[in-house]
Amino acid sequence: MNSEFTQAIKQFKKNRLAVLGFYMAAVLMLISILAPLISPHDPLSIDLVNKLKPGFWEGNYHNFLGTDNLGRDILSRIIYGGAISLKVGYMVILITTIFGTIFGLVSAYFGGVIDMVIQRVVDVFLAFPPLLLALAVAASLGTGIEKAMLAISLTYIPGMARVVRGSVLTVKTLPYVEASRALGGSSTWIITRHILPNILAPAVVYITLLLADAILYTAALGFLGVGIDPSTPEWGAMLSTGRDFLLMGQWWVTVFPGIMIVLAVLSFNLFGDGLREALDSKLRND
Amino acid sequence: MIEPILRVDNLKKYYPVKKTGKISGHDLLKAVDGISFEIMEGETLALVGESGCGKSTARKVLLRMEEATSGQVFFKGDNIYKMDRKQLRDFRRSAQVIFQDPYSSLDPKWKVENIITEPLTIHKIGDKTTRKETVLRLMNLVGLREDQYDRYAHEFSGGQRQRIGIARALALNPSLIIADEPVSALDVSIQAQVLNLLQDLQENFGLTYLFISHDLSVVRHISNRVAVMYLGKLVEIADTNTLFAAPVHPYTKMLMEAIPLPDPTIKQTLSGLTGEVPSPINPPSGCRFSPRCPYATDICREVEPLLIKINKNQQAACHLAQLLE
Repeated sequence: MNSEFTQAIKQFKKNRLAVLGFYMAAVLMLISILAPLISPHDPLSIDLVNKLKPGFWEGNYHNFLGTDNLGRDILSRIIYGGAISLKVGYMVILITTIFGTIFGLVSAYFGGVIDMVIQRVVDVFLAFPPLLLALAVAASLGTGIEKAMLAISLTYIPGMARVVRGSVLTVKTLPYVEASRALGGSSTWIITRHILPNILAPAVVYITLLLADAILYTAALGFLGVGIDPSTPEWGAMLSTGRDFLLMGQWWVTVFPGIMIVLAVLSFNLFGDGLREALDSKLRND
Repeated sequence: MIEPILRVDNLKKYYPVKKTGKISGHDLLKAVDGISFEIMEGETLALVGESGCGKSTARKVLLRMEEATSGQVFFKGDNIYKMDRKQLRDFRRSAQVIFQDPYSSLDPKWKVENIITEPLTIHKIGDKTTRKETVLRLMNLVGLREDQYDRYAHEFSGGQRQRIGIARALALNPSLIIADEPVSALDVSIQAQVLNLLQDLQENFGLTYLFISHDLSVVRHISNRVAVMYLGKLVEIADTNTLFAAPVHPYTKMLMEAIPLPDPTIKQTLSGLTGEVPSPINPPSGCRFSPRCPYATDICREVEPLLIKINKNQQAACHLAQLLE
């Protein structure tokens, strides 16, 4: 077993909030994966007769968390919404990690003009407020979850590229990289064997914290009705639908998706923070 | 004449640095400014000097880790600055480096086994079993316990880590080893052990060392000849015994006086090396040591002295060499 890894886990376990975050995130993921099995109703089936019905607090155990303005079951929509949020989150992470790492690595490792060009493009992207950029991209791409993913990724790739670039700049001047080159190691060898493994910790931390952000941004796009089809059981979109009924006393349409957003973001943030502390303390002790 | 294993001919390395307070224009930082020396097979040449004098830059350009500004380096008669990629790879097999810092010169994510076999993996030598045998043989050779092969570098002490670095350098059976301050990061008690190990290895394998150091007492112990470097230039090259008995260049003399004596009853007279090392960006005209030299005359401040032969075993770059003797 990699001792560094076990040490990081040990450190992580000391942080109770982070462990709580981890379990909450795990439960959330489990629910999302099992969505088709555990959701009591079809999240898309409309039942106008039973619209805006309250849930268990008024004895309605058929629609446990009530129904929305089109009579759709809120509990089922929340469960499916989790799957969508997480799917978007993971895809954003995947896209961001791949492109952010490539750009950051190439920029830092080869330096010079390449670095200059990539970093100025990154500057341009970082100059936009992230939500505005995601909105603009999502609006121009049109509706669809995939497009929302792309739009959100695009706002994170520059940041990721910066983080990776910074780490690579540090690692590439370390004597063991020079040693490897003195031994005759090629650039490919040095990048894959020495640089990538050693920039993993900061990259992982950035990625974990990004998951919470990505979920939040997906909700924001859904809420604003950009990129995500309003019929999709997406938490942000549900929030937006319920907004009109909040003041009329039908609070459950808004509150439950809202709680879910808070829980999801909170759990991934706690988890990410704990992970960063665990990995950082490992770095400090080194 | 016997061809030296390494012949360095007027090697220079300048770095462009931004002029301070100006938008455009570059100054040249003359890290290595025309050094020439030879190393014969089987000997140990020490390269000494204060920090910042260009020792480590010299190492980099000697191995063509960075391109030199001008000058040539011949390894066994072949100019390494005329080699193509493949030839350079072969050259890197025969010339290895031992680094100063045993902590950062070993990848923290790698196991000892993989660190030591990295050169073999890079050059695709042997298969899994033969590599394993090589690791165990090398670990034995440098005084590490064989059963520690699957540990990570951070589980070892500084001295042990330096032994790992030495084992890695030996893996390809090199003929030349450049040791860049290999013991300066170690405790004094460990220094002697590592130095003795290096000497044993030299005897057993006929290695040639270029030993870069700032510590003259270490140098005296290990080297056959010593080259003293000051601000990118060599000021004196001599046999170790000759140099320590009769240093010629005023800078060498001052370095000698600065060696601490391990005897508290002797009161050391420190004439003292006064002043700071001038910046290599705009080095002083004439002799570079002239601003700090107590003997400096007008000629020193105007004309740059060349390395001249003092006697059979000694060369020095000082206008006043004959006079001061």
